Amino acid sequence: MIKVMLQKKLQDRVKELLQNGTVSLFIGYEQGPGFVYVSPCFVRDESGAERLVLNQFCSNNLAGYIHEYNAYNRRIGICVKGCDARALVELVKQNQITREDLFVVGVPCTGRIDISKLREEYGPKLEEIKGISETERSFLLETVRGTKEIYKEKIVFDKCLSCTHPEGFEYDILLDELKIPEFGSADPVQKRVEEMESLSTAEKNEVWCSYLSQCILCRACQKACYACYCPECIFDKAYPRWFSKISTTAQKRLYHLIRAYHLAGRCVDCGECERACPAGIPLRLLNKKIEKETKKLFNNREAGINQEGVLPLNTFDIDDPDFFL
Amino acid sequence: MEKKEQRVDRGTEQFSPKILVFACNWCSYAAADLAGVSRLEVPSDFRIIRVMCSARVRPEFVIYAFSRGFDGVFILGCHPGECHYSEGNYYTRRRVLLLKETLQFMGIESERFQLRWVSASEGAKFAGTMKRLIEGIRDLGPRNIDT
Repeated sequence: MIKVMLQKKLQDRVKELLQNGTVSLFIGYEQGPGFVYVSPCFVRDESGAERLVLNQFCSNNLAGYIHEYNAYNRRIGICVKGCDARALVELVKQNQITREDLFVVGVPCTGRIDISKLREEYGPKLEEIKGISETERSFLLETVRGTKEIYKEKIVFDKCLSCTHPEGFEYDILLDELKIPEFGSADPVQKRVEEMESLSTAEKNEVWCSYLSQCILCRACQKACYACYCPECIFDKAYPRWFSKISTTAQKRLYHLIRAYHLAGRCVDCGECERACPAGIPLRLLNKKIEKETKKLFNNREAGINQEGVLPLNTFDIDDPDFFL
Repeated sequence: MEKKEQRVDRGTEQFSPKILVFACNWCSYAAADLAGVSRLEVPSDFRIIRVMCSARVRPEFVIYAFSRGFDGVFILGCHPGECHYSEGNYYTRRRVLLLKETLQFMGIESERFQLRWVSASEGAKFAGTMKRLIEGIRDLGPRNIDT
C-alpha cells in the first residue's frame, strides 16, 4: 500500500516538474514485459509521467544514462536510490556533470529483488506474480495462486546486504526518509574475495579460465556501467588496435583486466555489471578486490561516499608503500 | 588446447623467457647504454622500449603485453625524487602496485611484473637487476599461454 502511495507521489511530483519546466527530461522506471520486469524510462512531457512505476523490482542504476543526455543543456531529473546516489557523487567529482544540472529525487529502498535469485526461490513461472507488498523481514508476493512470503535476505541483491549511502548528499526531493536497510546476513562477495586470495596462482588461473570461458565479449558490463563514459573507448580503437574481437581467453582476460582497472577507485559497487552479464560471471569479485586494495594501500575510502577527494590514481603520496621494489 | 613449444636457449639449453622492458629515456635507458659501453654481461632475453618517463607506461601496455604471451614485463624508472618531470615516477609506483595485485588476482604471477629504479650512472646496477629479475622469471617457468 505504501509503495503505491509513493508511486503516485512520484508521478505527481514529476508531472509538476515537467509542467513548470524545472526539468526537461526525467529518468525513471516503467513497467517492462511483466510485473517483475522493470525497465528504465525517459519522460519528456507530463502525460508520460503516468508511465512511471516504483516497486521492489526497480533495480537499475539510472545514473548510467546521464552522460548520454549530458549535451541536452537542460536540467535532467533522475530518481535514485541511496546507493545510486553514490554514482552521482562520483560523476560530479569526476567533472562529468555539474550538480546544478541535475534534479535528484531520492526514493526509499528496503532492498531490491534479484530476478535470478527469485527464479531459484519461486520457480520459473514469474509471470504469475501480479503484485508485491512487504513486511519488516519478508516480501509478500501476490500471485494468481495466492500470497507467497519469501524472506528478504534470500532474494535481494548481494550488494543490498552491504548497502552504503553517500555522506551528506543533498537530494532535491525526498519521497520518504532514506534509511539503510538491515539484513541478517552479510555480503558474500567479501568472503569470496578472501577465498580467492588464498588460492595458488595456478588455481586462480583455473577459476578465472572457467569464468572467462562463459564470457561472450558482449560488453554489456561496460554499457551498464555508470563510469564508462570515454567518448573514444580503448576497446573500439582501430589504431592502435588493443583488442580484437576474436574470442580467446587471452582477449577476454585483457578485456576484463582493463575494464576493472579503469574503474579503480571509481567503482561504486552498484553491481550493474554483474546484473547485466548474460553469462552470469561474478564481476563484482574483481571490482571488490581492487576496491579492497586501494583502501588498504592508499588509505582511499570507497568511491562515492565523500563529496570531496581525488581519485586514488590521480594523486600520489611520497610515503606510498614500496615494499615490492 | 595445444601447448606452445618452450623457447630454449641453444647454448645453455635453458628456458629463455620473452621479456619486455620499458626504460625511462632519462635514466634507465642511459644506464642500459652505460652497461653496454662498460662491456658488462647482461642476459639477452629482453627487448627494451624506450619511453619518455616511467609514468608514460599505461597499465594497458602491460596487460596487452601479457595477453600477447610475454613471460615478464619490467618497468625501469628514475629513483623517487629524481624524475625528469619531477613527480612522474610517484604515479607509476601507485599504478604498478595496484596492477600487480590485480594481475595476481586474475592468475598472472605478480613476480612477472616488476618495477625497479635505475639511474643513469648505474650501469652495473642495470646489469645486476636484469640478471636477477630474469633469473626469477626463469624459475617461474613459461607462462601458461591463453588460447
